Amino acid sequence: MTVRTPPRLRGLLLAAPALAVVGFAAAALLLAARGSLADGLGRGWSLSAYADLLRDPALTGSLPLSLEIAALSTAVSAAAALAVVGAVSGSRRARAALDAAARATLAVPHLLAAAAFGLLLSGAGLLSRLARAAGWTDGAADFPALVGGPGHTAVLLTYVWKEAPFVTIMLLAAYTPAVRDLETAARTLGAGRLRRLRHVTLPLLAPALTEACLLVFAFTFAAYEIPALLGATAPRALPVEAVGLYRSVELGDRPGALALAVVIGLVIALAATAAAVVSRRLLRARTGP
Amino acid sequence: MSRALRLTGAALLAGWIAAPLLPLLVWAFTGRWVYPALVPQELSARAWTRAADPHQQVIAATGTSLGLALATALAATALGALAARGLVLYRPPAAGLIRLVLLAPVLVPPFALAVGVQEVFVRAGLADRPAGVALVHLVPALPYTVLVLIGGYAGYDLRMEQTARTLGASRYAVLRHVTLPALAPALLAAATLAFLVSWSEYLMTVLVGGGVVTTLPLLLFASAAGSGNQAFTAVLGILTFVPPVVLFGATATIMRRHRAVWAEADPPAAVPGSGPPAAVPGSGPPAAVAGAGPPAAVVAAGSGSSAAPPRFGPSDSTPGPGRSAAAPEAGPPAAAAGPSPSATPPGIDR
Repeated sequence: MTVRTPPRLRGLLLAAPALAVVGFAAAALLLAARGSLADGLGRGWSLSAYADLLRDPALTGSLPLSLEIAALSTAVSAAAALAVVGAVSGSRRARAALDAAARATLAVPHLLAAAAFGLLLSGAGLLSRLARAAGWTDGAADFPALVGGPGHTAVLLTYVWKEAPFVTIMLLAAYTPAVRDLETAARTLGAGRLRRLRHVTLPLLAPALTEACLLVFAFTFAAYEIPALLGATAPRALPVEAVGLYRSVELGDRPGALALAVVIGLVIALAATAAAVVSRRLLRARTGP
Repeated sequence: MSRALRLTGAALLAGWIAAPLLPLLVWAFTGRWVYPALVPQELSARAWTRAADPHQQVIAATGTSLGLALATALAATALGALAARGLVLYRPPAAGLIRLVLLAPVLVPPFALAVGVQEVFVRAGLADRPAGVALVHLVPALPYTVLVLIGGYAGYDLRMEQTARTLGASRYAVLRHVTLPALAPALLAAATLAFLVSWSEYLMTVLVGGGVVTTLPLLLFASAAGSGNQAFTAVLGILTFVPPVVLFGATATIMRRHRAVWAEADPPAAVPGSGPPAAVPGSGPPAAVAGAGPPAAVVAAGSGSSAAPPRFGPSDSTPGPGRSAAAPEAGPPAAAAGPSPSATPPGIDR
């Protein structure tokens, strides 16, 4: 805090405590990766944990399942958010109301959303009771297995309920007066609703949409609570499987659990790279080479 | 016709949002509600009495959750404010890279972080302790505070501090009467976000706390996963839900009032900052002071590249890990920025 410190060095010093926290996290991740490369006793170097993962049918089913859950949640949330934002685009008051509603949903912790959807969608849940009252089913066993069923319907619904508002907020934030000006200009020049959407609105919102999709994908791929509470028992989502292995009393399962952590991290790193490429393309498309 | 369409749309949306939450209110006051009854056979406050029983640990867990969340909010906001100050006001070498590194933790998978941290803590003797859990919560909370406060510092003029010093104010007086008031809305928004990240955390608390550190989400998960006591699950759900809502409401109110003060003092100054794009780091005019800037800046920062400032160079245009305000759990966070739309003066929006 002296005037003599050169400003650039001072900037580094101020950022140092926060960087130390990230450094701590990075060290933790490296140690986890190191542990995945050890033998069953946690010593030496070995790829056996990864080889075991490939041999375990439960685990080979988990990766596609988690990819499917994450991809579907992301796609449906993005489509829903785009549709809703497009529907309210004309009215300032509707946009403000949508923003407030989306924020209210975001305040709900994921775990609470999972618990609430469980009470709503389970065999003895409210929806099942309504179905029986309406005469569609004869009993709880008749009701489709939304919770814990093979389709993972409850998991997907909960994710969309939580993530669509998140994407909506990101899109609304990017939907600036400048974008609306260009839309108005296009309309003045005679562009119809669809052409405006295709050539003006979508390209301008694409960077925000890409970012939102990356965050939603990364979260839904790696999150534990919702598939753990609402998912089927086999195959289980990758994070659920990983936590199960990590908590196993067998010491030899530990490298396997750490290897799953590495796999989860690698998938997210790939997704981030893909998003970076897409957004660079988008930028180049807009500004020219 | 189009009005009817709009009303239908709004009703559908409201129904979709309320569908999972409203039944919780009924369940929480249910004594007996056996399938296939549509309404409870017996209403009772038994689940609430049970929650008040010390053996159920609910009160203790609420205290632990609050303590962890407050500690996380305080630490993350302080670290975020320092880092943002350094990045925005002093532009260190590789500022763009540092910013990216600080935002990266939003993408880190909680399971991988928790098991890695556990490896570190077992060596350092921090395993199964509240302090260790608080440290882990700090990691995902930090990106949000950094991002919000970078926005908060965007319109900040260092000369205000220098002027106060020249006029004889002590360092403490400058902090107390210049820096903190100017940054108050951003600090509040950042702290709210960090509080919510910690408050909602489940997996990392379980794995790093080793079952010794019991928070509200742990009880909620256990009840939802296995007890079959829906009324108790609903009570825990409501207890989990109320603090964030109160916090949001309070933050929104405080920010609105704060903005009003600034707006009255200097209306022209408040206007340029209140449009989201103007409040983005770097592009905001210095006049866009605290009042209107920061909340909008949160959202704008989240909106990403369209408004990305040229300052940090090309590396910044990639949406690397976390260029964005909000990760899913940040959802709540983004919401902390809540008042921004209402803070936009009618004239600027069309």
